[in-house]
Amino acid sequence: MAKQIKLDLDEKITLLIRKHFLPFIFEVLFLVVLIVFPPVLFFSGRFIDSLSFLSDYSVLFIFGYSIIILFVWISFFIAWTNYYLDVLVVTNKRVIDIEQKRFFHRDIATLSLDKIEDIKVEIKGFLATLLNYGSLNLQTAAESREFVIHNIPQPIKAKDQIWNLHVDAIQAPQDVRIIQNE
Amino acid sequence: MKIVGHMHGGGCGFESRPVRLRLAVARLRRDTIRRRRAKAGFLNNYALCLQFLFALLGIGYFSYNRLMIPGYPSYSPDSLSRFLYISDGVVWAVFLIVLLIFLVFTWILTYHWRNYDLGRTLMTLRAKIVYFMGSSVIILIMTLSLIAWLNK
Repeated sequence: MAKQIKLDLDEKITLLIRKHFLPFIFEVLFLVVLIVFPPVLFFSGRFIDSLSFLSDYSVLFIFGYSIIILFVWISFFIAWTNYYLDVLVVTNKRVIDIEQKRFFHRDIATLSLDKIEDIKVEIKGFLATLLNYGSLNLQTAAESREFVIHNIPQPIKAKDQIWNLHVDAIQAPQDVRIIQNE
Repeated sequence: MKIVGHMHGGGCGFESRPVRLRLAVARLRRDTIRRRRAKAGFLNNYALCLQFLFALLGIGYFSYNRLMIPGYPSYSPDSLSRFLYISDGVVWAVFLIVLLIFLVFTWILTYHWRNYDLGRTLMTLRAKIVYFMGSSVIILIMTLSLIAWLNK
C-alpha cells in the first residue's frame, strides 16, 4: 500500500475502483492527430516532386517527426499516469478518494462510512449508458460539500457495495467509554 | 415600482422569500456552470492549443505552397535551403534540449509511479517497460537521423 494512506489495524480494503478508460481515451485522442498530421503535411506538399525520399530534408523531417513522436509518447504517459493514479479506495471504515489532478497536485478526500446519508448514481449520456460508467455522489449530514467521484465503471454495483458497507458500519458495535466522576 | 412577493419588515433591503429562492437558484446555477467550466478547462486548453497549432500549420502550408512569395517562387531543395537555413549547431541544440526534456519528464513519471501507485505494482512495471522500450526506439531513430543529417 502506498505511503499516503495509513490504515488502522482493524481496517481492510474491500474495494479499489479506478475510473473508466473511455474518458482517458477521449483525452488522448488528439495525440493521434499530432501523429498523423505532420506526414500528411509533408507528403502532400508540392515540393515532394522535387525531393527524393532519402534526400537531406527527408532526413531532417524524420528527425523533427521523431521529436514530435517522443513528445506524443511522453504526453500519452502523462495522461495515463493522471488516469491511473485516480483511485477510489473503500475500506470497512471509510471511503478514500484519491485524485491525481496533474503532476504534483493530488487531492485526497476521506469520508467515514457511518457519515453517509445518501448515495446518488448518475449515468449520463449515450456512451456512459452503453458502457455503464457514471458518477457516484455520496452525501453526508454535515454541511461539508458532497463527495462526488466521476466516471467510475459500474456505478450501481459500487453504490450497492458502499451502501452495504455503510449499513455494516452503522450496525457494528461502537466503543463506549464511561468516565465516572469521583 | 414592482413589488415581488411579500416584503419583510417593511424595509427595501430585505428580499421576499420567492426572490431569495430565485437568487439561491441563480447562485446554484452559476456555481454549477463554474464547476463545469473548471472541469472542462484542462481539455479546453488542449483544444485551444491544438487549434492554434493547426492555424499556424495551415497558414504556413498555405503560404508555402500556394502564395507566390517574391524570391521564393519554386519549391526545389535549393530554394528551401535559401529560405530556411538550418545549421548543424541548431540541430545539435534541438537534440540536446529534447533529450533534457525527456530526462526531466521521465524522472517525474517514474517518481509518480514509484511513490503513488496503490498496490498493483505489476501495472506500473509494465508501463515502465513499455515506456522505456518505446522511448529508446524513438530516440534511436532521432539519433540515426541526426547522424545522417550531420554526414550529408
